[in-house]
Amino acid sequence: MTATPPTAAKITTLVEKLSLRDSVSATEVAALQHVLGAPRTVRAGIDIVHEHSHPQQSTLLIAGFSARYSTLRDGGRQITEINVAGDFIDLHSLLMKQMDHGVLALTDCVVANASHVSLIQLTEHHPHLSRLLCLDTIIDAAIHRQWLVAMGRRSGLGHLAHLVCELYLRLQAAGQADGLTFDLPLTQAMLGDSLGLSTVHVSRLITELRGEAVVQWAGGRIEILDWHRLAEIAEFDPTYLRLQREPV
Amino acid sequence: MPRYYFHTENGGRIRDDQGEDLADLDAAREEAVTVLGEILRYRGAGFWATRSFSVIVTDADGRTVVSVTAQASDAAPSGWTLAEAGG
Repeated sequence: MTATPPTAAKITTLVEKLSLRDSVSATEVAALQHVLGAPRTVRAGIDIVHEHSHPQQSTLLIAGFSARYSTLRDGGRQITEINVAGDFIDLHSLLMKQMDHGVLALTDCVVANASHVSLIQLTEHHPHLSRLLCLDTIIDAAIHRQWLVAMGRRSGLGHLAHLVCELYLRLQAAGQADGLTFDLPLTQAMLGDSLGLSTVHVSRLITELRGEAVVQWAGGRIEILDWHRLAEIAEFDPTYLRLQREPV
Repeated sequence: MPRYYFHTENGGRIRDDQGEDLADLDAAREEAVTVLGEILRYRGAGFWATRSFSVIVTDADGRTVVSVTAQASDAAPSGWTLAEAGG
């Protein structure tokens, strides 16, 4: 049972992440608190947002891991982004209106909704905060670009290493990493659907990464033993995550 | 769903102790070819050092149910001639 955090705690991860990119004022924090409803739990395996639905609200992921995904007729599933605590998983539905993909809870998740009506008001009263939130959806697009490059051209090992580097930096940005250690309670099948690789291959790649002594990976927890080497295997360039502070 | 295990052999042997639950033998065949393709994709010219790569699929009782092998060689497959290759 995932504990439901108190209302005051629900935007901590989001604010922490946004604050890495630009300063967030107390008024803006209050405005974010104001638009978000009560946190609720979504069980692992359940759709948080359905493909082709017309959401009337956008959903903030407060705790847990979710995935943007599309499925093919033969049952094949491709995860196109893994979302972590502090991510608005469908902020784009505010303007896209209809979902072109689904969002699935990979683990038990705690989420909170912001109605589109209240988000529209927020864009009118808080233009700077709106730009910061808009930046987050732009970064989602940048993440999709890097995943496309990885899917098409990286070796299996490079691709897995790239995913580990990315998730570590994103979790760290949201205050969810403990030094170089972080929780990643995803199955090899979920990782396979994220990398476009078979479960068998993913299992081998994890063994290979462990063998290179760059990570310790057991029981859904990863410790990066050698960041420099991991980043080298991944040819990782963090530019796309836009983790530097520059005013928007 | 039956569980199948996907072992590989390319000079070194890697045993699959985890296995994967799949609908039927055809699904296991499909997975075997996928695994072969994925692993070979970035082997490059280094594949000529080992020349052969196999995925061997066993069932829960350890019996081999299917296998698939890719070969690298400096010669054409036996019986192949350019003249009969069409085009």
